[in-house]
Amino acid sequence: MKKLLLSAVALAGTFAASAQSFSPEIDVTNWEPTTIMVPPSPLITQYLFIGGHHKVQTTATYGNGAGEALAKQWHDFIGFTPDNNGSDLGWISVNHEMVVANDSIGDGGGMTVFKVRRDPATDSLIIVDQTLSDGRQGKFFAVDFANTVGETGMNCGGITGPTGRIWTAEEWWRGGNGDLADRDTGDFTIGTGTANQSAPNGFPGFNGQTIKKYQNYNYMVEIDPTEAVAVRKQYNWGRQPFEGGAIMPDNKTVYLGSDATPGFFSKFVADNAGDFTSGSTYVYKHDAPGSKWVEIDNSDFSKMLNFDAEAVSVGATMFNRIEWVVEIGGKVYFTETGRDNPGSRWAGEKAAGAVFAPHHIARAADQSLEFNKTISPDSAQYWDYYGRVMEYDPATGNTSVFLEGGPYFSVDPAIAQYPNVHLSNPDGLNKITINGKDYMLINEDLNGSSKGRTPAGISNRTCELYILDMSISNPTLNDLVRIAYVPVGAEITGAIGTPDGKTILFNSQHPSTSNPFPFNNSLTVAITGWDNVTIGVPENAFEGDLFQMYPNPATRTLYFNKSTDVAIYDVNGKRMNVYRNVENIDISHLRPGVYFVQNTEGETQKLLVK
Amino acid sequence: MKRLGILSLFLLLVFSLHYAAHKQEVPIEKVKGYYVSGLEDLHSSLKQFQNSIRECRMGRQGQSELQQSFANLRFSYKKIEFLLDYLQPQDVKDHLNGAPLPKTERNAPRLVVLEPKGMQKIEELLYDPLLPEQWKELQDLTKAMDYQLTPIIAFAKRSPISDRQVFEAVRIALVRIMSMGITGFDTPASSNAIKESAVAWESLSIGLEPYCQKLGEANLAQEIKLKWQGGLETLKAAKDFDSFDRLNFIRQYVEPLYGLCLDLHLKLAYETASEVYRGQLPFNYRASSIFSEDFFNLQYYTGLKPDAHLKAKVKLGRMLFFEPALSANFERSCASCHDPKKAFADGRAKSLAFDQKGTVDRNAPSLYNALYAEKFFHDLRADRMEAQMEHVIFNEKEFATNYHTIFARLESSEEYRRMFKEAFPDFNGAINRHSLSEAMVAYLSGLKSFNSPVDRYLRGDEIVLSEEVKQGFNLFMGKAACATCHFAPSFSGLVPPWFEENESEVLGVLKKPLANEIDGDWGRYKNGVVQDEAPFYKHSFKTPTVRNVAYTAPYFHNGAYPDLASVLEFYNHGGALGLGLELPNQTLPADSLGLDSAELKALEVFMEALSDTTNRGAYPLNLPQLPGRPQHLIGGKY
Repeated sequence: MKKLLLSAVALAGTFAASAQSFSPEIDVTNWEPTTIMVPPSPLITQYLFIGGHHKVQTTATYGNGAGEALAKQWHDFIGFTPDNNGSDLGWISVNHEMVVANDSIGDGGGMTVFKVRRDPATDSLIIVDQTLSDGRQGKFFAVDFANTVGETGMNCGGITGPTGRIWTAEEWWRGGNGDLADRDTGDFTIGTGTANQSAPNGFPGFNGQTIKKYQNYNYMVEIDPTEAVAVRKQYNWGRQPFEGGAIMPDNKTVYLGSDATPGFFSKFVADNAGDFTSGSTYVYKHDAPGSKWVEIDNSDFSKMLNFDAEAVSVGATMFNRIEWVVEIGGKVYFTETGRDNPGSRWAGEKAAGAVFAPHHIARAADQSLEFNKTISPDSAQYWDYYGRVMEYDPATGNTSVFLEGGPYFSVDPAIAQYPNVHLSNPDGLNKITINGKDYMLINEDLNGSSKGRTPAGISNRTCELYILDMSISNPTLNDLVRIAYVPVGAEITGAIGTPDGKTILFNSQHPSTSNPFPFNNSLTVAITGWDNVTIGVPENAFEGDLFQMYPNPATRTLYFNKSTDVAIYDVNGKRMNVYRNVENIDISHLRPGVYFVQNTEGETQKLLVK
Repeated sequence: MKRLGILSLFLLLVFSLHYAAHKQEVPIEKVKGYYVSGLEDLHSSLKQFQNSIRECRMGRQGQSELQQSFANLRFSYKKIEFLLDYLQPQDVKDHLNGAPLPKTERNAPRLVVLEPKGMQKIEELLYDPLLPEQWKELQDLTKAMDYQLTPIIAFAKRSPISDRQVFEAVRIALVRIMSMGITGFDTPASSNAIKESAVAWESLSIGLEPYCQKLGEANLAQEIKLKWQGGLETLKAAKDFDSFDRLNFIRQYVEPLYGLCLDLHLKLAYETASEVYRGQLPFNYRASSIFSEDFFNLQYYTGLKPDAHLKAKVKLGRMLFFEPALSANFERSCASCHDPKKAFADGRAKSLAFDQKGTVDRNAPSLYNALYAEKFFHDLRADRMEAQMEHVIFNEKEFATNYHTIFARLESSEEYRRMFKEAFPDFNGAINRHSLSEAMVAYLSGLKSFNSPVDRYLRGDEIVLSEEVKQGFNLFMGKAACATCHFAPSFSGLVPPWFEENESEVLGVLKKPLANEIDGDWGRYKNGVVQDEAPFYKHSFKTPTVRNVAYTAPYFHNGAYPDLASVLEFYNHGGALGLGLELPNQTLPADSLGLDSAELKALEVFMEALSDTTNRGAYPLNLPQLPGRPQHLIGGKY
């Protein structure tokens, strides 16, 4: 009975919440409500590197002398290399996910590197002046690809190795020379370059091989961030639409993901720790008897050039667009960003022998109920709107869903928590260890806006950066804490923690031009001070049932003790914002001052923002 | 224990009754119910249409019955379009009622061409005799819709809507009906556009009815009701597509209701967009008129904040616009090709090149309203004004210079340094790519043009339009099918009702009028944007505005058409295809528009009336001094 009664109350509550309109003005004179103070944020936010605005130092390229140029845009991956031998903090490497001609930086995509140290007084980052051994001087340096390994394109994700070595991934698949923005599309010989453009950094065992220029794209490419030059294209990991990868603490085992449907999960094991030029290459096949890793002979260059076809021919496991890969606590996590209706994209490979990952089979079975007919992952109906974070356990060789994206409202999250709780098309994935505790960093992208990936109609459509406490077992979306979101139109990418656990770096990529400068450009942002803050809301923040608010000054989030509609009024009692059906709200737009917060029941409290 | 139970039961009853009683009155519950049941009706109309296809294929039904079944499907859609297209525009565009043209997959890691799906694609098949191989295509298209509707409905049932959103949906739908409904945009073949608009129109009045009731018997509610009724009667009384008087329908019903619905929204004190959305919207929700200067939100398109420094930025931008030091030889400025005396175009087919021998590659467009765009240039290669400017600076045929040179020249001038400081105090007057471009944008932001006699008439001003202009407007929006690409109220390719996207079209503009040879310019296909390297963007060009077109001859990207008459003739023939030339992916229907000479003349007169150059730019009397440059010609030498 009691349960019934409660549900009746809940129904009434639902109705009240949806019918309320807040008065455009309230009288704020002559009364003294409960006051909640929001202290200043202990975090320091810095905009370190602005695309199209900061100047990068370039090498002599295409007959143009060394000099400087405005940096490319579309920042994606961020790599971090600790300065173990010096007194600075380390080097930051930033990918440019574009294909564009540039006389000084080089055609295609590219990377920018710079070095930072900590201000001893505030812990904020200072960009260091450097002189490189090729004579370039300045703060920001374009990584030279054109004169070393040949141009790169669409530098998306990448790898920060356990010792701080950096690889950049060339994702966007180049299917012919017409897909390039290169001025020189002559045939490319590994170790020498094209007829007109020398690219001497070859690869042991592959030197002297001649390929079409476009076939020199779509590799993992190692760079040296300390000298702003490329080292080599990793021909022995296959030519794949790479997005991300991770190197295990053994400094031998590399896990790699390809962003396609089907996307394959591959592995390279070096013969000797730290030497990634020789070793064996494998592709994942979950249903293989014995080892789930099937070797693809990387001494056969044609197999490396046609890696996907080889994967299909051995019946590899198919995923729906694998994005970033990260190792945390000995396990491997990767994002599968999803594609709305992947059916036709992998039906051919299925017919040719490749197999669906088990969670896709399970999803299709669930969806069979929805459509009232049997469907499989290659059916036209099959949908995969939200994507997810996957876990791979090297001990068992199994992959499983670690965190399912949503909302679909039937499972997670509950309607009352939406849109505060959601995860749409996770893409970038990384980690930070703060005061000895491991956290996962999850970057959202948006493959689309439908089905609740962004709130419907006119609403805030942002991509968000979430942090997840890895000590939580079986986490749900409710355990995600939003720590940043990017300007309108932007994708949030590249998040990485510095090894000291103080700073999280991330990129805002391709923002809308309607944002004011510098937010209308791609940006590398640093937020420092995570070692001194509480993440989320403490468990004992609320007592009793009366309307209560708890501000987290670091993330500028205001938590309520129950889901409610709220209106924020300014110091004069004029309505500024209305939020429907929320348990917490972002208050980063509130400048220091006095505000009033009213809930569904008309209870009002004063908010003092410092 | 028992007593407690009875009490609980009683309470439960009270709550339930209370809830049930209120449920009747809660507007949002009514709207949500209407939406969900409308979606289910749409799904069953689709099933009936699928059944009709089977029957027709078996020969048990004729094609006209199939067309009727399709019309019913579209009517079902139109009943809920205002909510569905507001809440899930992407589903509508991708699966249900998107343009029948191929497109590229967004946010995919390679170029993937998506074939068109949905009702507009289906309609293309239905109004010509069906070929045997088209049955399967029809079945596949309807099956795909069926597959998509299942999750759309499931999601709609579970997801919340708020009162604010109903008002936004209704007002956006008014813009949609005006710009895409009565113009026949999404149902060109069926001749049902006006009937469909009537269905959509009625659905809006149903959506707002609970809110009118909530307000009570106030005058406002009554006024709104009368306008809905009047509009509906006008639509229902329309004899046919061609003869419908769009001008008066907009003036008498659409425009007033756009304002009245806002009044109702504010009276009921629901929050508005600016209270929930941190970014900028392409339109100002609080504008009460569609054909007015404040309808579009310039800040969305430019990022320019209307703050205390704006005036200083405009002043600086004006100097820069006429500043020849921006070009390599100190002899050219923006005004060289965008002359304020020629509506900021230059009257040439193609502007003179830097070397004074050749020309640049394409015709210089007018700069009036140029900022209201998602992308710039005829080939849409620049996605922001900074990039637009950059192409001109580096282009060997235009300014033939670079940033370093320009910044150094400006830095050398004390006056410029001071002006940059005044305009950008927050950045300590830094002269860089951003400040240069923002100042220029600030100057261009004054070049608004939304106050032509036609605009004034549409928004209800007591002015007289000639019968010929009226006829021309109605042709433009109807029979001549101009407005299905040059969308009102911008009359450009800025797509309503969200105004976030610029369209480009494949017309097959000829080398010269009636030259029998298509101009060889690849347009968008070769604009350098990898995502645009799709075959259907060959010869595709941005749809410009026809506002102020009276002053901007010659026309098209190649400037080959000397006057409006030659342009209209080209369209009247049905573009390159209509002239018998070969052009895959032409987006203009190949059949003749069938316009007679009086109609062509009326269109011309209407377009000439769509002029407003009141915000004239004038040459400044002085430019800042540059050391060592006494010969500093305002606006450049050529």
